[in-house]
Amino acid sequence: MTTTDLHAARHDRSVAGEEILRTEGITKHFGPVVALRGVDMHLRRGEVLGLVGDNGAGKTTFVKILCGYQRPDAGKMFVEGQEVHFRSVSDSRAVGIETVYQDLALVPQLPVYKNLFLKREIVAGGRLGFLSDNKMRRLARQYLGDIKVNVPSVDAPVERLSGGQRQAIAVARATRSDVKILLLDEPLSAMGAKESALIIDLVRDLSKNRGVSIIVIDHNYAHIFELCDRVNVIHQGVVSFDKPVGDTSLEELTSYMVSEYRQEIMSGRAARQDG
Amino acid sequence: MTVGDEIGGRELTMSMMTKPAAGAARRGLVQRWARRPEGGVVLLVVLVGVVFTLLTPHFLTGGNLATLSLDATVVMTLAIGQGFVLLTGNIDLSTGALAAFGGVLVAVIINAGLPWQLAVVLACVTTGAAGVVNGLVTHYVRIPSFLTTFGMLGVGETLALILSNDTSVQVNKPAFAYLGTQSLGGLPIAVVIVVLIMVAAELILRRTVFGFELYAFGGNQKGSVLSGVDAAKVTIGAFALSGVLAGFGGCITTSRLMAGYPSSGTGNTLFDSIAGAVVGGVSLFGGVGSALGAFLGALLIGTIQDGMNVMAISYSWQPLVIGVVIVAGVAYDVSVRRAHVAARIREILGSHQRGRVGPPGPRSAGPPEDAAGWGVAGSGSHAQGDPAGAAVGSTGQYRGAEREVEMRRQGDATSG
Repeated sequence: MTTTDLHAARHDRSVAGEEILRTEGITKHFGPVVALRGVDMHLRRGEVLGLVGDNGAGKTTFVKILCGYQRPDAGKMFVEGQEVHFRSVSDSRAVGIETVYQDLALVPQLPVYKNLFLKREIVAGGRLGFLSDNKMRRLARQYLGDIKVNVPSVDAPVERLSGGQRQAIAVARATRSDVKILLLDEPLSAMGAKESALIIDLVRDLSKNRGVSIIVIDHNYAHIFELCDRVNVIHQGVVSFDKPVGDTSLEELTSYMVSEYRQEIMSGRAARQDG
Repeated sequence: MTVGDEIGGRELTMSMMTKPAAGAARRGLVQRWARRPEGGVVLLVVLVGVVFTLLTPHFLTGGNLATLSLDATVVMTLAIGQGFVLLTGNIDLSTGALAAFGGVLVAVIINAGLPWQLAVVLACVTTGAAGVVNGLVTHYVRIPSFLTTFGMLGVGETLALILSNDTSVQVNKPAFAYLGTQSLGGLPIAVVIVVLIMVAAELILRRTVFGFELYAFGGNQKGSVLSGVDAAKVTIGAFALSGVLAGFGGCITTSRLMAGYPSSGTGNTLFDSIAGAVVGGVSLFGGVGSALGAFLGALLIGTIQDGMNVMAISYSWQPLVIGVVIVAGVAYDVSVRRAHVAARIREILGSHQRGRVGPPGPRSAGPPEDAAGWGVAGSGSHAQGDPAGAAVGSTGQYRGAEREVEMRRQGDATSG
């Protein structure tokens, strides 16, 4: 796919893809600290949305709410038009939301195939039966082949893999099931160019060919421009910027963030002077 | 896990290393076992056995081997239970006390007129319930298991004392001796049962969802919970199994002595069980190890103790022997570990540069020595009068190095 095709595809989808996720007025307090003060956001099918913001802007909290790890104080969430209330991570998973955490949540000592099948174990003979290791191995090989992730062996412990391979395994695990929305927390952090390419290809394949909607959280705007169709900035607990990446640029985004940051400092100073 | 799927998994690695495939499966299996901590313990048991055989003609006799294995059954049972708890990254200090409680309880129930088989089940269920309490408190109140089970240690000891009125409870039904004194084709019944327990535990760990989640939870608590592993189920389940097995260990003791002693499971038993599990390759930090390893580790400790008894080494000298072995073992262990950490760092750097995965390190030498060092550190601690403190202190010091070694060991254990 050439760059033009890619942009065309992005454009098509941003028009055609139906809305899969919407949040309205999500707020969250931690004691006196306000993490989110009304996040309105939407996501279309097959879209890759970048979520950027400074440390403490609330993006991690927002993602934790989306995946059911935390519960919002107020606000509404809709998945495919249906309002949802998540009480746990399994609730969000049940409607097709999967999360790849920054620390990947893999078990380093366990082999690749076991990591892929954690909590989706294949057992012979009902719930209380024995694990079908062979079947899990075979399916793991098959699936990793499908999404073009290369690992030396599905029996290799995850700790022996490179950072990129681990990230790919974590993404593969999240997308192995019937996933609609994938949340990726800094998928390219601490990764070399080659490794990044592996993940970028994987993300593109998932969104373009499999129609998975993806939210990418990242500090690094360059990563966002490489991975995403659209970018949202979360600033002081609200979405303050929303543009397709084709309509903005690294420069615009950077200067926007800097100006927001300056404003914050100014208002902080003013507040201090008032006090 | 059958030989068939071992080969299946092996193929990729083999072809990667461009080794000839012929006969690779068989060799691979042997190599893998040699690398596993369990293999190291088997080697050590044999080695210790050979040494004692050379030193005294009384060691390698049918009678003594039966005594040895029978003596080891209680620690084996507790070590397997301890293994489950250690795998989750917790520790169970109450096993010895629950064994004493279970031992007294079974005597009391039999004397009340119930069939001994039912009495054993009831005693095990009761200590299992105590294990459930351990798990509940550890998980929901979020108290370190070290403290929770230390509390249960006190409760168990006291219950045993109250129940027995501070003396031994003679069992008045001779049939109960079957469990601890009878043999089946030359093998003591208790040994056969403990082997069956070990096989069952191994099946649970290797082949069931619960076992899988136990390893996952112990390997990465936060990560596995985020993946949907039910921490409560895993934690409570492990403590419950440990409680049940502790009670059963107590029943064996009572059957052998035909009396429930409230002091029988206290003292060294607990620390031998921890040491046994750890010698057998079960990590104190969770996620690594096997029931077979715990079983073999307990066998090693039993062999050393039995050998010293057979050689008529005065009981007052035994702690000294163990103490000397600890220091030598730990000193050796630390140096081996340092070498391992260095090798590991080189591996990581190397794999980064060359894109290599799973380089063959000087691994074969590692686990047995590690295991030996651990064993001595653990089993010796009770000789120093302050078992808990000693055990924790000696392991805590090289936590960083330990991590590296554990990771390596884990890799070896799971790659098969």
